Amino acid sequence: MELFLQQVIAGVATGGIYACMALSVVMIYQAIHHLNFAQGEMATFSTFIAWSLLAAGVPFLAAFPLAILLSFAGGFVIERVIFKPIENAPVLTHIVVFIALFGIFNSAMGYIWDFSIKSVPSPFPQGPFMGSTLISNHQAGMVAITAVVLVMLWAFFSFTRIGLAMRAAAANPESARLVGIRVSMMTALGWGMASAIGAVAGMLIAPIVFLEPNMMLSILLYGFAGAVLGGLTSPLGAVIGGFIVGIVENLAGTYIPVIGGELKLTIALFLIVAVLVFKPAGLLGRRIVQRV
Amino acid sequence: MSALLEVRGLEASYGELRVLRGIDFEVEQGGVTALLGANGAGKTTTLRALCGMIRRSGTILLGGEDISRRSTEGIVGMGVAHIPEGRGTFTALTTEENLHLGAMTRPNNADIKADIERCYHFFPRLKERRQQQAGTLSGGEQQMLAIARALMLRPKLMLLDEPSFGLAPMIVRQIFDILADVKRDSGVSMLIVEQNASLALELADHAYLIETGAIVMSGEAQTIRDDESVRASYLGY
Repeated sequence: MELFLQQVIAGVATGGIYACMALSVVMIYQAIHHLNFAQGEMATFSTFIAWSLLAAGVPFLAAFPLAILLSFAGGFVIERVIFKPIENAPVLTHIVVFIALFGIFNSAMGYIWDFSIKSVPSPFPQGPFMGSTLISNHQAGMVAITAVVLVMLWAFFSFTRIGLAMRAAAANPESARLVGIRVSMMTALGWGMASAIGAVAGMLIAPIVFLEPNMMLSILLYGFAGAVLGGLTSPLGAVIGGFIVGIVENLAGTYIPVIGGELKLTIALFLIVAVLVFKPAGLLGRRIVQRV
Repeated sequence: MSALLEVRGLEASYGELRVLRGIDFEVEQGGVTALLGANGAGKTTTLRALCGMIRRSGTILLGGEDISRRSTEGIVGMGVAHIPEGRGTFTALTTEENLHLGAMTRPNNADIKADIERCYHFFPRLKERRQQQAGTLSGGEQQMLAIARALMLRPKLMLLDEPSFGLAPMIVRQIFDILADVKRDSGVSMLIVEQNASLALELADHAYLIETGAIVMSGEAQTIRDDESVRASYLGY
């Protein structure tokens, strides 16, 4: 029983990371209806920035917010410079640009920070969480920060005018323009926010998996799985999906002998395929039904 | 007699296809102008061209200022509320959120809340449905919502694209009564595109008849209504 609980809690902790990545993916999907394959590399890049700031002696409390702000600005600029000009281009164009972006970020990180693995210190004190044997301080911190991010996003989209404007722009761009919303600005904001959320995920996971340019590769896959499972049209679904993926991954790795540690990633891919075959809209996703 | 909207030589094309071939018309301050014509005559295109949703050329003066090069968002910001074909409802959002969106270009203050209450006073049906997803509203309710959303802008000029479209005759009657109230109470100018010519001519002060992208007749609504050829082709009696 203790093992089971431990695995579930560990699953919730990593699930939080997946939830953040899934949320990044969904935010951009909502805005431009494409999946950003470079989301993971962008998050890793943000993490490297945080690492550099820490290495330069900037304290945690300044380095992390600074890295998040820089990521926001970076995502915003990427949309303006790269994706705005191709907004009406076909799907394939977007896919090629995403893959290019993936390659560019990955190589740039290798060039700037080289491919050796780096350890990123946790902002939380070492050791178990309040004497518990189930969960470490860092894991508890991950869950708490994920929860804070999610609540902030929810409040932003539910209670602020600009959040409402972003939802309107994503749901119905033409009508949004007709009420005076600058839709392309909302898209760029979405990119900025997605990058910032990715940065949070990257900085939280780095102390566990070590930092190197390919750090996010598998994590993004779990994020995709979470997003697809929850429904690409539903931010809440993406979050729930992320947590489910985290828990399922851990339990399957522990209790299904064949899977063990090595085949864990397969579960993410299996989930993606299974959801797309049996429930393409995901758990909370909406099938678009229009009254005519 | 001063014109709020003055359009000169408006042209627009979809690719190679020229849809508007240099049309001139005016909307008077506080007046209602109807744009009549058959399917495909270019009525909807005219409205879309006015607020920059398609490429256009020509002169469009709003209160004396040329808006023919401005973006849609910019034109809306100047007080032009366009109720598009199909009503433009934000179907996934609630009724109240739709109303808030209508006031997006206005500074955020208590006036907006008061205006929403005024809308609910005008359209009690919307108040009943305030937290309901707008996509689940009936067609008539969605049309009311579209008008209310447009009013939330406190517009100088409302562009209405077929407010009768797809609605039962009784609901259409209701909608036009509401528009007449709006005209009387708020003094907002309107440019209305309608296939239901007799209803539109009842509401309008002036009317233009548009055929294959050109104005073929214009005048007082009363005159147009009494014209033999219009009566035969558009009014059906």
